[in-house]
Amino acid sequence: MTHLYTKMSIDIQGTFVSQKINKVRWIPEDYAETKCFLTGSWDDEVNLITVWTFESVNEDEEVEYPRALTKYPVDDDVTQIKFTEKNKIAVSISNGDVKILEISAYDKQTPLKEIFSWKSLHNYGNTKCSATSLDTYEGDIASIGEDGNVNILSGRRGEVNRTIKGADSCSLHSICYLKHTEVITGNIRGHIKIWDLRSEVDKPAASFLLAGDELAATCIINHPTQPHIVLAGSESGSVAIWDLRMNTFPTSLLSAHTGGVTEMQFHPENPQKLLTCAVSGELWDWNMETITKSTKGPDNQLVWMPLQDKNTMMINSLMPSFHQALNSLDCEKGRILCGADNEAVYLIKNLKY
Amino acid sequence: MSENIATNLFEAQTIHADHKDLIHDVAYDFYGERMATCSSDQYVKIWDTDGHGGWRMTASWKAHHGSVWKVTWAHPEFGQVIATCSFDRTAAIWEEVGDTTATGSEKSLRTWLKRSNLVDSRTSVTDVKFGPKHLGLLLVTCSADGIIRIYEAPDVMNLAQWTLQHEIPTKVSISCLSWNPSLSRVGNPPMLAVGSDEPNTTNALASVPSDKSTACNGKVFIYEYSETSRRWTRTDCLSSVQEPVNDLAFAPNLGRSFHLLAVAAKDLRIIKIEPLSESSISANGLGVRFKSEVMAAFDEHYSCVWRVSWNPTGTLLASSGDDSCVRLWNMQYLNQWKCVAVFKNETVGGDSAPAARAHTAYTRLAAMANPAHMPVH
Amino acid sequence: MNITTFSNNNVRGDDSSPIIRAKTFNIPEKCFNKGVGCAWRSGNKFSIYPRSQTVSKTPKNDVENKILNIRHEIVLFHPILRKLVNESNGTYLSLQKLVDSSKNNDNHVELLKLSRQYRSIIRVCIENLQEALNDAKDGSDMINLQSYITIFYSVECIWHLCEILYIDKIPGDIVLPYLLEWVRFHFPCHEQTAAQLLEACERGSEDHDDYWDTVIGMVVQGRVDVARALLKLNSLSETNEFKLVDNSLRSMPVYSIYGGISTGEFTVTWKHWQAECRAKVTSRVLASQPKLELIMRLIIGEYSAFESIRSTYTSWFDMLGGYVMFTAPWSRTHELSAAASACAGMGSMPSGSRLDRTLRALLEGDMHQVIHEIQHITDNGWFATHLSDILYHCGKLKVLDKHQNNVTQRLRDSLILEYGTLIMEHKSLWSVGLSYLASCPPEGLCRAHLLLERIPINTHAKAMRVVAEANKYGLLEVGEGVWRVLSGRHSAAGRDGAALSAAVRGGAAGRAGRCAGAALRHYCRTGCLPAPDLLLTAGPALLIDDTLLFLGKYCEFHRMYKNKEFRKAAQLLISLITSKIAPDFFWETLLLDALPLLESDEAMFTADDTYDMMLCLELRAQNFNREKAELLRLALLRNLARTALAEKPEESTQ
Repeated sequence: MTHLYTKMSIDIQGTFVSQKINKVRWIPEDYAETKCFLTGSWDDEVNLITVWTFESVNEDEEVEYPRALTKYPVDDDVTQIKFTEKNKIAVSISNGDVKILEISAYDKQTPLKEIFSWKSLHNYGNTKCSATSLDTYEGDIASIGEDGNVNILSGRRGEVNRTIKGADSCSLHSICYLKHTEVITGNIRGHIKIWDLRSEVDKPAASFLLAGDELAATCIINHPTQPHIVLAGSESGSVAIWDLRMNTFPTSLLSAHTGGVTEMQFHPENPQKLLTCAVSGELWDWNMETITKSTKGPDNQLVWMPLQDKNTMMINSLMPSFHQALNSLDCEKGRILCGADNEAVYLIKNLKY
Repeated sequence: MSENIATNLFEAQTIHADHKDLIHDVAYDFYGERMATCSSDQYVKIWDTDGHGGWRMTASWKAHHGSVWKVTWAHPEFGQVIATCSFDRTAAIWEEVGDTTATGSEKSLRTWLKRSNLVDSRTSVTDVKFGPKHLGLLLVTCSADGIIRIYEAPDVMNLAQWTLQHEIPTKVSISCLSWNPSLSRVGNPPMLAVGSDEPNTTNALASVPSDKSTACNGKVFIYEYSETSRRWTRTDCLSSVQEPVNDLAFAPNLGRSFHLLAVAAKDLRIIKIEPLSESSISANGLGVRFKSEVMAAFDEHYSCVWRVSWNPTGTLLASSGDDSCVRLWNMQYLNQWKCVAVFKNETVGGDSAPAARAHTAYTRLAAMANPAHMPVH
Repeated sequence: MNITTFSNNNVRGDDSSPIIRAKTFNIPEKCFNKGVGCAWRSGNKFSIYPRSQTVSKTPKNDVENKILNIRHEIVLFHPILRKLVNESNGTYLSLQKLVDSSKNNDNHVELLKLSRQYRSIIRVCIENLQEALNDAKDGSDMINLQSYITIFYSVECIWHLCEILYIDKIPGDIVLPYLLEWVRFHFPCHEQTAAQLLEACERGSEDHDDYWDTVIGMVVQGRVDVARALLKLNSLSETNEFKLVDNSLRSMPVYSIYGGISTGEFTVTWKHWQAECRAKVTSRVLASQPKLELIMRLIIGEYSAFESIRSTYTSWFDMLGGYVMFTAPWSRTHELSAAASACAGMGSMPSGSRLDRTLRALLEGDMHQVIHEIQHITDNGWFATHLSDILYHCGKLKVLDKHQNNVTQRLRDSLILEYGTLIMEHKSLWSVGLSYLASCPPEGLCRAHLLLERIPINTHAKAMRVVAEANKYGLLEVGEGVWRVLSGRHSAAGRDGAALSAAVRGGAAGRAGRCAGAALRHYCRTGCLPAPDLLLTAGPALLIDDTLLFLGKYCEFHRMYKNKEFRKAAQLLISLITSKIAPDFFWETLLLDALPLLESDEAMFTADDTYDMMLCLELRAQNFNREKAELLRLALLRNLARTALAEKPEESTQ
């Protein structure tokens, strides 16, 4: 069921859940420490979105184990889970559906309730096509798919506000809201495009290739307090970092993981800290301080320096050598959840931040 | 401990094929996700998995003007393509075309278009097989009058255009053929095995053509393609198989230095064909290119073996025959072949269960209480 | 399909087994009574259909046309057992890494750790099964869970003994304490009663129905202290008989490797002690207390005493620890087989269960037989695979064939290959199976190749993952194949961008070229170029095929033209024309594109350019629309006229 590993002061606790986990998300609590989390599985006959809680088996035992509270079956792979509101999640599924589900605020055992569902929102005409990811911003949702379309949805009214048809001629794999009126997308060739949602025409405001290797941009995020700082992870394992105010495209690409980057997250409490996980089974904790403090820009703001090599950065590996892909991470204070292809969920405790 | 539990478990699921006559062939696509069936009713049907363990028929059409003997799938790289052959002396290539009909429902029937009709044969076309993918888009047919024909589609995106590349007369009735799936390397040119169902009357025996200097009464012939002469030539005749052949199949190659050929005749044979080195070929002076050896011969089907089929890794072989049994054969780690399971029709009386539909769930098969009670013919 | 579990696989490789014990299964519904045909679907699935070689002349209405799909049910795919599969995969890979990195070093401590890890994984699995059984409501679920518990309980029991005998390095090889621990752990009978009695601590405990069985049970398990404490609770414990027995038990010498005495010295004291005890038995001082006498007879190792209590135990291994303890406590691992056969021979009960046979073989050191027996366990080969692997790496597995060739590695490899192949059949577990196959080259990689390329690819995410896994093990062709199939699928559906990018990834130059050709034809018909975003950024990827390169450059030309960079556009057009990589059907379109540029106010083409175009036009004039050709000729001549004039002065100055 659960095994404990200890690496220095960090505790790693793995729980096997009989399904490959593609996404993990803490369910935020207002006043207490979060106890519940969500997982979305992929690559199985029937996939599930599951709500879990940590609880101890015996009262006197300190270690807490995840227990499934409720399961919501979906037809295909869960490709993304993001909160639109405190207790509502937007989910993209590889059959092209996008859904908004509600987690009961009172009793987490209550089955997830479907609020809105866009059936086959992404499609190849009559053929199924994967909705590959989505991002949320103040109740709005931007979803992408293998059809190369971008859909802007209203999570409150359940409407499709805008569709950028053929935003890309190839399949899209990553999306991030830069601001309410601007999204950035990445495709299977690492082609990044920035879209001004106010623009009438379906033409990107800017576009560039992540690298010459024609590999996919697997995830894109921006800095929580400096939203003009953008990071993109590649299928090759590289991470690109750039400042939109200086350049629209990354000036350097950092070769980081040995397998594709699956998810990146700035620590919610300490944005100097970046967490990344990868297909190669690595989970890294980056200290980004060295980059930010080096120079000040003309307006006395911090400027991110282009990176030459990762040795100049402080990178700490949080998982002992791991043989399968780590697909997802979510960090909350000193605890990181990780979902993996070995059909396990890992909880890493005592992370210093 | 475990002996009180059935020691191995199999489950079965029945599908009603709805063919109006005998089914002659069932073929799965490369992934095992789609199934094609053909029958004496001149129809071909395509079945798709419904994602929940069941099968759904997604196409059914009258493909020929006679019994359809065989159906076979092309590698998915070339699209959703099948080939059929028939008693009506033709072979045909069919392609599934994209869902252009805007019905929206996935249950809509798919459309298969006849891309090409191969009409070169003057007798019933008995077998048809696509070549290994690394050779391009190749198709081979054989016919009752003993002619092997190899066609090629020069443009893999244009299935309407096939050119007849080679016509190889064998002078005996050919019932089945199999491509050697091994990648061509040095000393491993494209290879075909064909089986003859010519009955063994004394006349027939006399009329079997003698190949080169060595007269051979065998019913299995090996053909190889030579890059230099650009011709297919018969390079071997397996004298170990003297009875009419119903089916044969090369095993997928697992990097071995030899090829394995399963032959369904009066008994089941697994034959090891080992290419000889260039030096030993020239040394023997007879142009013998292979050392063939019968690795296993089983007569458990008692009467006649109809079909042989390998699993994707070539580690298990299924054989079926006139005794209504299917047997699974497995190579043990010391290279002996053993029968590891038998599937037998219930011989006990009683009403058969009501006809099941295509989406019936799997039910567990019961093991026979005493296999020793197998009827012996 | 893992067949070894039910095959009559004779590990010794001799062909002496007279009957092949293949299982026979009933095909339901009496569907087929003539001949049948068969076709494999995938690794553990195939189908049966009726077939007759003779064809009826007229179609019959009553034909049998049912198709029967058969699949092998795999217990390891049960959700609870999937945890075992995944977790043990981690341990297996650590083990391979360990032996790879410490080729010559002694790594038995690490191996022992890994063996314990395996056992703890099994125990967790049993716990999970037990939990599920407690919650189960459905009858057949309960039966299944119960049988899985039985299976894995035996597996752990065998593994534990195996670990003691072959993986652990016991100090001085004195195995007794470990053996006793094993017996107590796996056959804890009477333990509960003993605990209850000791807790109640009442004199006169002999009134409890199981009192004597418990006391004797404790003696047989070697728990002398507990036995003595229980005897003290007897109301007669102050009698001489009880005191005598207590004294004998108390004075029993216990060997300890760290006790500072040699085994020889110990043997002498121990034999002396046993002789004293024996003297007491023969003196019949205990005749009035038959139970006490039995205890004394047991501790002097009297065979008939053990035999007399055999019937109170379900198996002979309950008694093994005690028997060794009171007959030869100095026994070494390889000396246990005598005790095992002595215990197994007691009583008339046939000891024919698989667990019996396996443990016997284990104690006798007959590893062939051990592997042979555990292959029959219905765990789809999980146990046989992992145990033989660790024993192999400990150097404790030696299997010879009938010609005395060492076939140990072949046996181990074949088990891993079968297991890996079986696991790869599962929709989600394929990557686990792959890691086993990859650890067994070269055949493992060949199998992996065949199985990986057959994994259905429904999304690009899955494609990327399958390709990444294939590349990890150097199976680059699999990756290329995956992209080629996707490219074919996209191009059939008219998704040019996706088709092109997949073709480029798959290194499929021909396919990329044909996609590009199709795109150009499409342009000729509709005036629309597909996937400009891709083509304008593709760069070196375009170089894999001339037509693709042409398409990319042509797209660039359009972009320049649209951006009104006419001069640059004209230069590019000329280089496209002179490089002669355009497909034949496209020449007309290409040359006509020059028309507006030729007629612009400023000359965009030099005289040389114009000559080049004229030459091209004349060479291909037969493919041109006559009217358009005339139009073009005229424009070219006009341009030549004005450029020739403009360029003249330059020439003269030279």
